[in-house]
Amino acid sequence: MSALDRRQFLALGTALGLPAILAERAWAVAEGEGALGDVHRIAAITAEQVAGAEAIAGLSLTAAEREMLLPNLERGLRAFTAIRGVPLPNSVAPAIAFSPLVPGRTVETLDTVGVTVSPVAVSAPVTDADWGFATIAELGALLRAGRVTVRELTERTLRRLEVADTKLLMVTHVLRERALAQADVLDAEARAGRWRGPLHGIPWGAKDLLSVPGAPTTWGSPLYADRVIEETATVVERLDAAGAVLIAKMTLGEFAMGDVWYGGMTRSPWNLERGSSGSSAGSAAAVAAGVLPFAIGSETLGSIVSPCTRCGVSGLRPTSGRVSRHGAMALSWTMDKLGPIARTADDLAVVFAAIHGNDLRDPTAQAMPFGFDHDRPLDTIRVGIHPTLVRGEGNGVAAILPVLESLRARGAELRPVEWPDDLPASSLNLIISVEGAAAFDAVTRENLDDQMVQQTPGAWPNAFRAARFVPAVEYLQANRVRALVMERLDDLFRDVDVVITPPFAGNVLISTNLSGHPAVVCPVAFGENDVPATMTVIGGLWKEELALRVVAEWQRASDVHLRRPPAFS
Amino acid sequence: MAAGLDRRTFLGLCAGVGIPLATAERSWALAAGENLGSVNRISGETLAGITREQVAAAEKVLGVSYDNADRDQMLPHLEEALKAYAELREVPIPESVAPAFRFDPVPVGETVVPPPAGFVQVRELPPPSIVSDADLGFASIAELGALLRSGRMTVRQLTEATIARLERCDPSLYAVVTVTRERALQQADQLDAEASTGEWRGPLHGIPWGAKDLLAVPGYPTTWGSPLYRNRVLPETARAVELLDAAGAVLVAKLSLGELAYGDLWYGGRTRNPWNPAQGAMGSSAGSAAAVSAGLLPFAMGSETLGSILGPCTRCGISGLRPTYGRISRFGAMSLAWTLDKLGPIARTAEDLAVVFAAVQGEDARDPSSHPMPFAFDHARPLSGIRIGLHPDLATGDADERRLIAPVLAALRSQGAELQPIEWPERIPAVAMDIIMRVESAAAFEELTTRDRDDEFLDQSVDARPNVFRAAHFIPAVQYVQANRVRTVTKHRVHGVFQQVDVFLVPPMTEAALVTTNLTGHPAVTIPIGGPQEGPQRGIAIVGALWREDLALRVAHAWQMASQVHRRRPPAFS
Repeated sequence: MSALDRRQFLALGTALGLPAILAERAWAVAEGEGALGDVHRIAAITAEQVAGAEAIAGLSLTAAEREMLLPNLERGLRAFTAIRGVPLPNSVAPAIAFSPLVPGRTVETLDTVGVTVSPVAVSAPVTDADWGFATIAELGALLRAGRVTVRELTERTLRRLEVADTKLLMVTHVLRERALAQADVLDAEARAGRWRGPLHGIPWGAKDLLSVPGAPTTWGSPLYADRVIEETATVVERLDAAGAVLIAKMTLGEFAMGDVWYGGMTRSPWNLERGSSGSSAGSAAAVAAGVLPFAIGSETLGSIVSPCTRCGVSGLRPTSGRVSRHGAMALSWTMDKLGPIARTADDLAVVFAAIHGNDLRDPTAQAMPFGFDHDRPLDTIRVGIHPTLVRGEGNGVAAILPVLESLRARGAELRPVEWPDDLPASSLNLIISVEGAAAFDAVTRENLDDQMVQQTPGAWPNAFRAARFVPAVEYLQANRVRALVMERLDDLFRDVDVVITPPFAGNVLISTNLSGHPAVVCPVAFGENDVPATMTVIGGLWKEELALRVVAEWQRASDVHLRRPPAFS
Repeated sequence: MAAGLDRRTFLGLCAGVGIPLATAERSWALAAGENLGSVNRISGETLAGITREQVAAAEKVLGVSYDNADRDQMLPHLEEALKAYAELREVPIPESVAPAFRFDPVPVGETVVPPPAGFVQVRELPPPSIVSDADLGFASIAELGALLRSGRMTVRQLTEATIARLERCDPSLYAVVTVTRERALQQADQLDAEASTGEWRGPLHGIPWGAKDLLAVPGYPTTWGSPLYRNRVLPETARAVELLDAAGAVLVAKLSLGELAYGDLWYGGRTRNPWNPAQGAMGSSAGSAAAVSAGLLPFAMGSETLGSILGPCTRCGISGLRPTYGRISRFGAMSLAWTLDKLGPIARTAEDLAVVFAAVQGEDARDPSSHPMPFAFDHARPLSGIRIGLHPDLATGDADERRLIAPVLAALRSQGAELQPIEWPERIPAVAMDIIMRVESAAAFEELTTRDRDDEFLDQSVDARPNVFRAAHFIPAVQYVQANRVRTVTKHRVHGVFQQVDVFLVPPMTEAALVTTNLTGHPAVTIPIGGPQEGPQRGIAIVGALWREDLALRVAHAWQMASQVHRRRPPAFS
């Protein structure tokens, strides 16, 4: 217990020739550690504290400037308290929203109407796995040919899912009753000759950040393992309306990071010792294991591209704003996108057509047209290739080179592009962690983060805590640099329609997630020990059709995407 | 370090006052500039740079609270973050680059019915009798238009007379930064040539005006009121200026604004209230309001983020329109706060505001916040059917204010409007506005802070820009995001008010008019209701539903047809 107050201590220090700064710091440090006990209340903000904050904000002020700040900063603290008094559930988005439109630039839209996919022969699957690995088109043909009812297909899917799940840990909740009830309705319609479209009767899974009433929407977290949200996400509404049958909620790494959820780690069907990657973990694993023909996942920074790569399946991360996020957990309001995972580009196109479009309940969702012409001539698409592919060396490059050859042989004109890399795109990661920290503000402040499943330095609890130190001014500046990144990419995509790239080359993943450009990922090869390799085809804004078309062409030329994990064949 | 003082003595001193040894050791090391480092509990490695103590200190400033384990775990993140900030600061960001997000005033899930399309119909007035120089100065747009069309005056003559009066009167007002003489005369000659062949561009053909000096015009400085920019010429023409040029209006001057759009103090002095030259005009559209109030110009363009049109217009006893966010393109205008700034016209009548607004509002691909909507105005349309809300603050002002408000309400009632009290939504923290504005403006002028040029600002006091910008750096980004979520809630609540009424009346210098509705992006018209012969004037604000400037202006016009208050002239400029 100190016998002196601060002023006396400092005076004594001066008398002894102690530099003020030394004495002040000693006092402040002691105070910060509570070493002085309760004799001295922790006062209003001090200049020393500001000095600490400066260090973390990367700012450098003079002593005079610091002093002048103090009333302002105290006002700030009162403001933060007032803001915290307003209840803000995760579903309340900020009044500022991202749009991929670059100011002053014109928007180019494609004119394809309708979705036409490659025709398929109706051939009855023989094994259970054959059923599981059938595509949307194939299943649709079987249903329409009367070879199977929706109910039978649903029950078969449920059985296969439950068995596979014991190995993959890819499901949070099975929606059996809902699925069977829907199946019966769809069978009745089918008997009356009413087919809702290509998704009529097709089973699917929803990443468990999409709300569906009647069962928990867990967000992968023990905090919400039993929490039901009585609201149907727009994506689910649209797929219901299209006749698809929602079978289960699929796992995601807690709060959309990685593959570890409250039930464990979702596995890759290709190697059950390894995680599926994430965060669209269960969605990718289920499709890869031939359990579901498609699932809906999401991406903020890699959460479609990464698990699709690990699990060797195809995925579409659409242009920002293409798919309504109403009813989806928000991690990063300016970066989250919902998208389909499936085994073929054709399937991705069919699902995307059903889910995209504007929605009053999500003002960022736009009404841009989408069509898919599986026969669009390849040479109408200006295809660029990433510099690493041009150089022929780098991570993920070797597996893609034969794909380029194949595409060239089939009439594609590939041209090298210069990918912009003069801006520090990776520094913009703070946008995600700041927005995530805000979205999960209560979890951090109420110390619920101690109950979260992952506690490593890279996991959300620490990332959210640290993000609370990011100055707002830096967040704003990051968003201005983001505007410059968007301009650069817009410039690039004036000269090409799509760019083929290894999935994790350079800054491609972060910069296209920041700009909102669409990406299609698909497997291109399997290496030693069945490790999948993929390529990503980045599209110009709203040019999902062209990226899908290029992938569709590759999938005509090869059967890599048809390969089945041995454990699930 | 003081001679003779060594570490051992210091430690002894600290022990003598009960400071634990470990603490004292760390403190010595800090002061001695030693690289304390901190221990990364995972790897056991010592890291340089940010320390646990600094984190603890920062928590106090940022309003968060962690334990030592948390603090240690995040140190690498914080180090990475510093590198990220340094990288970001290296990027040259042109002033015109806005952040990659935008504000939309429409609440989520609501459809807002667009206003009707149509024309702007104002009264046709005969040419005024011009006895004095002041009569010309106080003429309205319609009156000046009539004067020009009658042939009694050419555009050139009007331009020269206006410039002459400006130059004569400005020394007591400090409202003019630059007279754009050559540009104005060139334009005037062109417009006279057109008029002589019978081509009239419209109601603004030949009408003189001034631009708040945050609107870029090539060939002349665009100073932003700051000595930092007093000679800086920008190459582009602001969209609002382009549109007014195209409409035939003649830009005669760049008008003062408090430095960087704060207050009424610029490098040339403090802009004065024509009703009391000992008093500032308020800001930041100081010169725009003062020049119009003193009868030097029929209209000017100003801007508002948090009161910069409503404030000076009220004090100077004139009319101003702060439109819906996104109505007027801000291309070529200084950005203060990207999600809050609005440009708007300042004039002496609601009709004049309508004419100018029609000319400058509209879409512009270069302004990402631009949100086009139709605008129509009919001076003759009766008020019946308009639902006018009465904000509770109409009753909370002083006796003078309430006395001046009463006839306004009476006049509106007698013209057929339905007046009804409104319940204002439970108070949402005004601090959301404070946070958003401070952060955005600090970011917009970030370079000035980080490169220490802020020492050159005029006003170095506690509430002025330099200190405010520095302080803003300690607002966490999470708080900024949260403030914008509170803003979302606020939008919904205010939207609820507009389900009951089309517009509401409220005194201008109130939270509802200045803070809440600036946050939500609602339009507001302020009009004079009277005041002393010398001193600050009084006004009333008419806040409209989103994009319903037409309704707010109609209500304003109705009052102005029933009273002569808006025709009063400040004695010093009559």
